[in-house]
Amino acid sequence: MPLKGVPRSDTYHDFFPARYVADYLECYVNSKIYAGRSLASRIHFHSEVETLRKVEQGWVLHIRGHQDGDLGSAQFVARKVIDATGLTSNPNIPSISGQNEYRGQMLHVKDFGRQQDSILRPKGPRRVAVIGGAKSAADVAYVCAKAGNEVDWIIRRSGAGPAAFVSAKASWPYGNSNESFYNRFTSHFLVSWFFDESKTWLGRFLYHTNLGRAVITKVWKAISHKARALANYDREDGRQNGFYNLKPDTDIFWQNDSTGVCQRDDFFDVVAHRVKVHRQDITRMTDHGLELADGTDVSADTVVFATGWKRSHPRFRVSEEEQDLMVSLGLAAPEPREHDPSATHWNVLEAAAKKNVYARFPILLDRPPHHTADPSNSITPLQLYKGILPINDRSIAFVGQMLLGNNFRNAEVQALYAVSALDGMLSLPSKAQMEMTVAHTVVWDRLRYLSKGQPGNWLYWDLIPYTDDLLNELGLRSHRHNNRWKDMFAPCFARDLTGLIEEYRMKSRKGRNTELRQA
Amino acid sequence: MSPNPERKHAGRHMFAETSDESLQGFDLAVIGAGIYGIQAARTYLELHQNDRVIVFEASGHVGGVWSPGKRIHRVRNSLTLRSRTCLRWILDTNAPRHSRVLGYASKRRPEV
Repeated sequence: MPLKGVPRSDTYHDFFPARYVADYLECYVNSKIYAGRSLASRIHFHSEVETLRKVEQGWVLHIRGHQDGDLGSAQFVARKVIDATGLTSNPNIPSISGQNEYRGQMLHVKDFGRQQDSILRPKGPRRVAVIGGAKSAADVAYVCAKAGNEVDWIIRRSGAGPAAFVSAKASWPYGNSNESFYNRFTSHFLVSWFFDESKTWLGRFLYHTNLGRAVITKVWKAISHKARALANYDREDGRQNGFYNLKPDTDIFWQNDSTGVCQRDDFFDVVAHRVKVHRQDITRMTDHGLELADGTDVSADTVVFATGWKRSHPRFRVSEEEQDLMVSLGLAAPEPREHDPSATHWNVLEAAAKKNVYARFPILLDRPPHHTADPSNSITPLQLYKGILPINDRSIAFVGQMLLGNNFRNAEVQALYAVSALDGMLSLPSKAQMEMTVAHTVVWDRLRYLSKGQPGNWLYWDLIPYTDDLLNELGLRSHRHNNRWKDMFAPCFARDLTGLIEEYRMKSRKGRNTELRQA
Repeated sequence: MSPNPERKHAGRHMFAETSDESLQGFDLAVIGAGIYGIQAARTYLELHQNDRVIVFEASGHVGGVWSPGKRIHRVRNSLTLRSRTCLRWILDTNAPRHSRVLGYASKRRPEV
């Protein structure tokens, strides 16, 4: 189903506003009909899954309904479960002392969309404080400043620092930054665990020779340099507002800051001229705003927390039994556990994996100084095979647990992988081999993406190598181009995935027939 | 079983329904109706047309972070659209031809 026309006037280097996606999804679920019933009619809204319990027949789901009040609860039994709650269900609001004293409006960025009219079109100019260093904070700061509000943008000193912003433009042959990033040529430079460098001569050159490794470093330096030049952090007219505070702490290669795409021509101008940028820790909240570590007193009518999402999985309550279930499935436990018998086992695997990761990517030995103090770092990493499957359970799969720069392609590929595994059609390696793969992925992620990689699910740049790896494991090919040059350089589009389910269906049918004959 | 077209599905939830679905088992339960949940349910149904699939969504909309009320005016998403050559299909790249999908609909298979 094609996306309904987005007027050219509403795009910026082909990036388009998010509302078109929501409308599209609405139409999508209504148009999909299976056995006479639409996909939409199978969705139960206002129905929160409170707990999930493993039983002999599969899973029992306890559902609570709420829509402007409690609607009661119900129980459902399902043979298999796909958890698609993803990473953006639990808003993270840091606890700051004095939060109760603050008299103004306080909200998480997830609610900004709903309340923006009252914030953006105030009777008089409003003072808005935005907390956070990444793209969502930048969006809010820009939108508020543009609407004529007084904006203070606070990025804590002790965090990973402000995000870099790369240009949405790209040079030939690519139409925009997405295209220049999401292709198999660029995949060669990502230092991705999921990329098979032995397949191409370029890969062997880049990873097996000193000159190749120097080229990778050089390319990334150039990308960082270009982004810094675009932002021009030391510009004269932004000095008074602290525009220089937006300089990222680490180079773009490390992706330790959720690098974003600069989607407006006037983004840097608006921020430099109209936003006061602070790189300071917040000491406390006062009745009228915030107090920063350097003593600055920030007054604000509204405080927006663009501080991301909590990692703890919302589906499981924190009883001892459920913690055990989470750990056995490979999900991060909400709190580090003192006597985790599996911890030693994983430490041994990870130590072995570390040697292999360094041997494969010596470039990761030169990690820059970076912030590591997040308490979330001590939480167990996500230990799902390929980021989807628990090692010991084939009745449940998790999609959307890996963090990628672009999710639509991944949603499609992960879904097919998950369904295939739940159907028992995917031939998986032994438990020990799966554990070793998980250990390698986690260790690589931690070395590759510094503090962001600590939870083991940060695959920011790795969309193409990761999805190619999953499809390769499924034995599918139809998403690749027959022409080798095209396969390497052409941007990867959603339409390349056309026909994957059909190919999968044919393959599994053939597999079944062979099995029958052999029997 | 078919939802009231006037209400679309925005206000629907199982507690308003008269069906006794909860008493029966399902083949697959999907938690969340964001892009990942929609895609998971759709892929499963493409491969198992007649299985019983249920999707639970805590909010009143599909789309997760893309849903109405979570979007910011004038903020663009991370997707790109290039006329003729690019993401004309966002999700529906694997579907059999549209006509075939509608063909299933017109057959009105009985509920299993």
